[in-house]
Amino acid sequence: MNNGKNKINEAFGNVDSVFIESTLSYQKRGKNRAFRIIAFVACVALALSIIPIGMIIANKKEVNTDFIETQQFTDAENERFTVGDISDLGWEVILFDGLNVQKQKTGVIGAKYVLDINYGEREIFSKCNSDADICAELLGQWIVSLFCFDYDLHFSLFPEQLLADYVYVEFAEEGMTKEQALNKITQVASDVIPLENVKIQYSIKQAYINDSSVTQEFIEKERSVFERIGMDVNKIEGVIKFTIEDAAACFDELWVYEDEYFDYGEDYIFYKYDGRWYAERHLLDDDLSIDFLKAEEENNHGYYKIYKCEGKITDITNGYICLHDNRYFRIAENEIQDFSIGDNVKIQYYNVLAYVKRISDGKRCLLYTSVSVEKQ
Amino acid sequence: MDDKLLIEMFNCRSEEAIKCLSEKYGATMYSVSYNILNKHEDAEECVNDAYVGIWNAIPPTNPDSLCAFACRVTRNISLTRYKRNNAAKRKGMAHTDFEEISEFIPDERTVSEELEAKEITETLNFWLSKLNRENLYIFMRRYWYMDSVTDIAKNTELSDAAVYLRIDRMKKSLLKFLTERGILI
Repeated sequence: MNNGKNKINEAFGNVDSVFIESTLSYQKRGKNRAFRIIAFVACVALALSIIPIGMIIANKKEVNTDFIETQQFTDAENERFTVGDISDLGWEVILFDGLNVQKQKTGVIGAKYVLDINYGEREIFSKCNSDADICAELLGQWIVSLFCFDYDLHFSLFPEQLLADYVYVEFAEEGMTKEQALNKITQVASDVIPLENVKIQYSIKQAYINDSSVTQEFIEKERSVFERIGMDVNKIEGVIKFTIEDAAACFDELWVYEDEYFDYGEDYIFYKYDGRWYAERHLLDDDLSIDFLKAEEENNHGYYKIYKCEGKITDITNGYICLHDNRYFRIAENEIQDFSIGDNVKIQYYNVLAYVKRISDGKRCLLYTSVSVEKQ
Repeated sequence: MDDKLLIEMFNCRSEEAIKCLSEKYGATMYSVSYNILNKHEDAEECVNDAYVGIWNAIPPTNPDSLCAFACRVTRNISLTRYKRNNAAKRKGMAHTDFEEISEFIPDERTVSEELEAKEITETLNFWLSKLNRENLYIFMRRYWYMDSVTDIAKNTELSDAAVYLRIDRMKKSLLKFLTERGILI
C-alpha cells in the first residue's frame, strides 16, 4: 500500500469523536423510519435465492431476472404485530377548510393532525395563524412528503443554499436541472410505489417555542454549516422544537404502518430564517430522490428493475392481488376483474416493497407494484 | 456511571477505573476489535492492551468522549495486530471481511506528500458532517467499526443490496470530494 493510502487510513481513524459515538448504535428516527417503508432489493442481494425456471415473455418490458424465491414470514413474526379495526386507532377527522388536509385542533400541544392525503392531489398547508401552527403544519408537510415520496414538497422545506450544497450537485451529476430531476423522481415514484392513498395522524407532545436555550444550542450547532453554504446565523429569528406521539399511517384503507417505526423521542426542529420557516437540515433526506433519479426504465435498472414470481391467488382486495405468502401486488384497475381467487399466476413486479400490517387481522404483509400478471 | 466521573477516576489513578470502563464499554471495544481480527483470543488481548493504553493516556489526555476514545484506542491496537498477523501470514488466521477506507482509492492515486494526516482528518470530518444520519451510520459502521454489510443491513432494516448501493454512492462522492480539495492527486 502506498504511503498516501496509509495517510488516509490514519486520518480516517482520527475522525471526530462525534461521528464515532453517534454511530455506535442505530438511532431510530421518524424520518428514516418513514423512508424505511420501502426497501430496495436489487439483484445482488437476491442472486443467491434465484430459482431459474425458464423464460417468461414480458408484457411491458424485457426481463432479465429469473424467478425469485418466495419471501415468507413465520408465524412468530406475524404474531409480533397485532392491530384491531381501524376505528381502534381513535381517529377523529374534521375537515380543514376544503383542503384535503384534515385536523382536529385544540391548541398546538395535544392537537391531533389527521392528514388525509391523496397521492394525486397534494397541497402545501397554508391555513396558519401563529408560528407554532406554521411549524406544526410544516412537520405535517415533512411527514407527508416522505410517505408520498413527494420531493418537490420535501425540498420546499429547506433553504435553497442548503439544497444547492446537498442535493442540486447530485442532480447536476446526472446532467439534470432541478425541474428535470423532480419530474423524473415523481415519475419513478408513481411508477414503482405500490400505494395509492395514505392517512397520517400525529400529535404534538411537546413544543419548545423560541426557548432561548434551544435557540442558542441550534445556532451554535448550525453555525459552521451556515457559514459554509453562505447563510448568516444572525438572520435566525426563531426556533421551534417538537416531539410527537400517537402517530399512525393508514394506506389504502387496508394497511397500517408499523407503530414502532415512529420514534416518539426524536426532536423535530424548525427555524425562521430571514422571514421564512424552514426545517432543520437533518430532516433533509435525499437518499431516495437520488436513487429514483438513477432508475432507468429502458435498461431495467435500479428501482425499475423487474422481478418475477408465481403462485396461487389467495385474496383479491381493493386493487391488490395476494399470493399465499402475504405478498400483495397492486394491479391495474381495469385488469383486476380478469382474476379470481385460486388462479395460478405469473407476476412481474418492481421490487420496491412496503412493509405493512393488514388492518383486518394485524398480519404483516409486503406490498409491490405489478408490471404484468398472467394466468398460467 | 457518568463518563466524566470515570475520567476523573483515571486522573486519580484509581484502579477501579479500568473495571468500570470494562463494564461500560468493554463489550463495544471487544466488538470493534473482533470485527477487525475475527478471532476471539486476539480480540480479547487487544481489548486488554487498550485498557492499558487508556490507563497510560489519561492523564494527560482528557477525551471529550470516553467511548469514542476507548473505541479509537482499541481500533488502532487491533489494526496493528491485524497487520502484524497478516505480515507473518500465521497459519489459521481467520478470514476478515473488513475493508479499510483507502482500499477503494485507485492504486494510481495518492496523497500529496506535503499534507499532514491532521489536515486530511479535517477534510474527512467536513465530508462526514454532510452525510445524513443513516448514511453516516452506514459509512462509519462499514469503514470505522468494520462491520459487515449484512450486519449493517440488519441494523438499518435495509437490504444488503441497498447498503451496497449507498456505500457505492458514498465512495464515489468521497473520491470526488477528496480530489476536488486537492487531497488526492
